[in-house]
Amino acid sequence: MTGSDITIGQYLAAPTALHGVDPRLKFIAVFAGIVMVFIYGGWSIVAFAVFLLALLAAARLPLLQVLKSLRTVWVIVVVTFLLQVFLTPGEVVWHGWFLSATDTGLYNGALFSARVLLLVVLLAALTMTTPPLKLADGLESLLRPLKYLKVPVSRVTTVISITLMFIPNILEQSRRLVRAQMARGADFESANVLRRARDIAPVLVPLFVKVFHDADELALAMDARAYAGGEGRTRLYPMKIGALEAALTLAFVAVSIGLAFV
Amino acid sequence: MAQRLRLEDVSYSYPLPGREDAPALQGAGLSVESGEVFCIAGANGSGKSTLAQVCAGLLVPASGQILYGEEAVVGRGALRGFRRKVGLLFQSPEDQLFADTVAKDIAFGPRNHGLKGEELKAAVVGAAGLVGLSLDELGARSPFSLSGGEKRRAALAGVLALEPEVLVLDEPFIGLDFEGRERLKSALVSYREERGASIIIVTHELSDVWPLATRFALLSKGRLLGVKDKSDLISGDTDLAALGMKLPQWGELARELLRLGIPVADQSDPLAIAGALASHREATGDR
Repeated sequence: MTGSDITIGQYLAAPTALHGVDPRLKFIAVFAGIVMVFIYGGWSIVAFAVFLLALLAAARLPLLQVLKSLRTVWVIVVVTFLLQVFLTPGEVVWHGWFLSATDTGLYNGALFSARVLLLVVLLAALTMTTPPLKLADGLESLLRPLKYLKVPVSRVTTVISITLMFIPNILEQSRRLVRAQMARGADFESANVLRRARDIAPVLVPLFVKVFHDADELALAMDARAYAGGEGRTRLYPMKIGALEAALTLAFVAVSIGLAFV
Repeated sequence: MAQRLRLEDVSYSYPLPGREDAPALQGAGLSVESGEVFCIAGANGSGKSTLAQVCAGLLVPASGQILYGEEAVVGRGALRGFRRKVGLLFQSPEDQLFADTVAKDIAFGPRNHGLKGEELKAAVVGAAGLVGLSLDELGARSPFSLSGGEKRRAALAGVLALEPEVLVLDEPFIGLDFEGRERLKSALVSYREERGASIIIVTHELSDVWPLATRFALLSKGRLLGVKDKSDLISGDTDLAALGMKLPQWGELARELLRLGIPVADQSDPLAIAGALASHREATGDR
């Protein structure tokens, strides 16, 4: 897997209504979508996939870029599909060696695989249309009630937002290290898997050293700029929910629920 | 001198997810001769590091071609062979150290090239010697425990151990104190003299590279504006300030002497410039 395959956490700016929706509403919509994906059966999930594709087009997200995010879960999808196909009881449609595929297994395999894929697409669409800082702000706002249970919500969301912001940085750093070690004779293009595995250490060790060092420096820099957690912190841009975005979210939730009856 | 490395009309763009590629280098062409110290100079963001990585064969140009000697570097096999002949020291190379001891880190490259036993040991000892690192003292230590200057020299030794015919260094003097910079310069001079290697130094600050380099490729916004020698730069035919750079003090002094009509025999040699100033003072009685 190359760095460019990891698309979750990469914000793709575009002047669309979906990009402008309040992050809290997006979280609610995505949560509703995820719940419905696990409720849908047969044609409902197909209809939801089509609906989602239309939304991706409206958000002007490049389809290829969204599909790339699926590469990260293809192993899970294939394993899920095969386990369902061969381990679910039902009418046998194919038999070979000691394995039997059943009609129920095929249906369940396709359904569960579609659920995993749609889940990833929903999350990718969320991160691709929302800048990391807004994501963190939205999450913090939604989780605020947990502070009454002594959960350090602000600190946790700060960690999440910094992590999201640093993903592209870490990817660029790892690409630079790969090239640096290639300049010293490391072979990441070799057909020999063992050699490629051996050459990973010269990338991982300095990458971890650099990441921990940068994290330490960032913590010190935040301390030096009087960061002391969430209590009493104000926002540069206070969040406000407009009528249009609320309507869009309601429409999304309503359509998602409605599709369950297809 | 014979031509060793040539780039012809080379362009490179970085892919950006969901957006148009960002061009970093457009139609760059240059030629580096055997045993020459060549400088690629430009402000931050001018495309210097990209050009350095193209020179080392780590980034494959989208258009144009690389020639090594007279042969074009085309295809995966040729590229792999080319990379063995060109060594690249990245910016902040100390960030790339990874082995548990300095000696093992220096040995990483030659091991990748199949060296073992006495041959490998000789490559490590030779490279450490060139950069002035004592393996008896530091060889068994973790590279992470070294000082900044020692780390930089250990990283350089890791590249020199591959005995490249062309050595590319990306901002090698950044973050080093005076002693560290002087040691690095002397290591580069030793390597060039011993192996006849060509050295390409990428920098935005000309003062350290001034005594070493003979020619300067000036880069701005991904475009190569020309290749100049020191007298071109001193004579002021290029506005370095507009490119985000300035002449080193020796160069400024030579330019000022020339403006006052005081002859300078060799405008690129600090001693000749100082000599011209001293002669002028002696002749005019100016103290």
